[in-house]
Amino acid sequence: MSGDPNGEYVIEVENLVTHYGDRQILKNVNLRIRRGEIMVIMGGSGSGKTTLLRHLMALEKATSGSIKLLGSDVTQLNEIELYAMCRKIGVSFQGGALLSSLTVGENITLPLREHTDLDQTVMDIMARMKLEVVNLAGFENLMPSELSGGMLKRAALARAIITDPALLFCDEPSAGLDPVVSSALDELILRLRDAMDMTIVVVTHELDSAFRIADRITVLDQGAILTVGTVEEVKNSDNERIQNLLNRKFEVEEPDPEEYLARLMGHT
Amino acid sequence: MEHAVREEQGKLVVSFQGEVDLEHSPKAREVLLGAVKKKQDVLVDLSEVSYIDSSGVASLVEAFQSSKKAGSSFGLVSVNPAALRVLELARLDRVFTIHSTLAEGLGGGS
Amino acid sequence: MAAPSSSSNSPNLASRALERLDALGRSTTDRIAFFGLGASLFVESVRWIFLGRRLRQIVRAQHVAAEMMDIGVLAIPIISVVSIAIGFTLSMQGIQGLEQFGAQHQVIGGVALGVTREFGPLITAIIVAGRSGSSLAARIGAMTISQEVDALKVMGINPVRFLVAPSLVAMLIVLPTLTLWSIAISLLASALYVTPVIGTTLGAFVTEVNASITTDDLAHGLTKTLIFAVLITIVAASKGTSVEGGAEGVGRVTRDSVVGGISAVIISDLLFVYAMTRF
Repeated sequence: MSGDPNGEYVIEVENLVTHYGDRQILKNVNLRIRRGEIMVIMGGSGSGKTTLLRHLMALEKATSGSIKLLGSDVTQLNEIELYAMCRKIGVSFQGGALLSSLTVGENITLPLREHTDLDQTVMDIMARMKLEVVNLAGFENLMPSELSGGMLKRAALARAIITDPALLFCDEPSAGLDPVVSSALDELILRLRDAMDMTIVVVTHELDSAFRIADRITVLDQGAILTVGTVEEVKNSDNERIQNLLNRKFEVEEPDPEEYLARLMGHT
Repeated sequence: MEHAVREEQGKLVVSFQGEVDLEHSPKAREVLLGAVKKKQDVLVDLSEVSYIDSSGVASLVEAFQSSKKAGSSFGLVSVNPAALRVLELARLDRVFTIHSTLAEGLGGGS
Repeated sequence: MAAPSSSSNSPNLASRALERLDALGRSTTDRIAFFGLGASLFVESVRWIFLGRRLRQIVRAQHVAAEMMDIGVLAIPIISVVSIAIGFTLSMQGIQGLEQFGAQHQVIGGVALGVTREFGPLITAIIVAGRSGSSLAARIGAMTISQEVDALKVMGINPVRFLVAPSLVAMLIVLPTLTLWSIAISLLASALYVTPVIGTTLGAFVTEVNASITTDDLAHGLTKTLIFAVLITIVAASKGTSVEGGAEGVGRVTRDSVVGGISAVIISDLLFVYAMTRF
């Protein structure tokens, strides 16, 4: 069932349920992401945010539910149709995930080499254009192993945007980066949205980054959506679990003394 | 994507209609390089281009560079706002010679 | 599913037996699943090799060529050394064994047949499994851990077509070629040892070899290498894709692919020879 690829919602998730073995990871997730917005998906570890992102990228099969990207339900597409969609989406993985045997330039142009008939000179110019956008000019002949963490992420972004996709997914873009590099990356993400009209979905646990770049934030907890709203709405939410997440509070339960002793002795 | 090449006042005017994207830009490149090879001044009319992406822009860059080597001039004409934004993001709005109208492009000497 | 236990101090025999059976059952289903994975990787690779053009996912010639270089050309030194050793060893053993019957001259035919039908294909395959099977498994395993395989998928590049199929094609071309080389080198080594020891000429050696081996023998040996080629590649690819757990996991699948590849080669050799001698 295909919808309008140019509609208001670029991503529509309906009743998404997924399991890993017997464990239910996502519990009836419903989410709609508007064209041109930056949606940040946040949650503690184990909240299912990375799983949700992987489902949006069609890397995992859901137990049930539908995920519409640009009008097409990716849970219903066959392999060929999925590969055709790839031109319209770009993904920046957590560690960059550049192929270690190719240079930065070759990595960036890989999707072009595999899927288009573009001339090598044109592809090289395109790669350098994208490297300029991410502030990595001149790095095209280096190998990924020669780049620092921040540079790797920028190179990965350059690869993700090489086909001028409408939709960009970023998995933990600021993870492991120092604050200066991290905010430079945030600026880059904002620039991409403004200049290239991209819809960007970011999964992150860095609150500062999230508040800086998000148009809307989705908060996940234990596989279910707690809330979806603007930065202000989320910050002022009166939901206790959300406030705990924002204030990085951990819930410590007081155990029953008998139970506690039993646990220490290994009797459960 | 449609294209047309005509001669006006000693210059070659290359015009494109439609989308210059990953699928169509190889053809656009062929047309552009063919025009530059003739060693006349080239004007590229983008007024009827509904969409141009990085591959289209890169083809323009390549043709521009070729024309520099050949010693002839290369300019863009009637660039609509969407195309202009693509050029701006790539910081090429100051690299290319951009004329707002065809008349202006034809009027100015090389 | 934990086996029931009355208390942690006295696990009863029945529950322990149940646990053992459970583990056995699970490892069997794992192994069957592994065969299934291997079979599907093979079928997929073949599909991309033949239908790739239509589906716009071609198996690139440059990838195949690069693999052939690595699997084949770079293996020539080690294969040569080992083949020389085999040639010498078989000849020495053969002459010593046949001396008691005064039948030393038969060593030539014996070595020729043994090397062409068995030792050439087997030893070459084992070395290639150790060298290239392990490196393919490590490469795929490392790429899986670092999400490079995921990156390929979201770029619309099928990982089997990109990573496995080129190796399969390269292996199918290289292994028979390397085996031929190995057989030739072994025979040469054998000639160097045998001719002075039993007092014959190189020319006579060659004639005797020609008389002992038929094209059937050569076909037998080379056909086996095709089966070995498939097994080595598919075991390595299956292990690589089922990697779990970071750098240590990559080490594990590398080891497992060598063990698995060599076992598969030797067992399939047995099955093939049995089938051929029965029909």
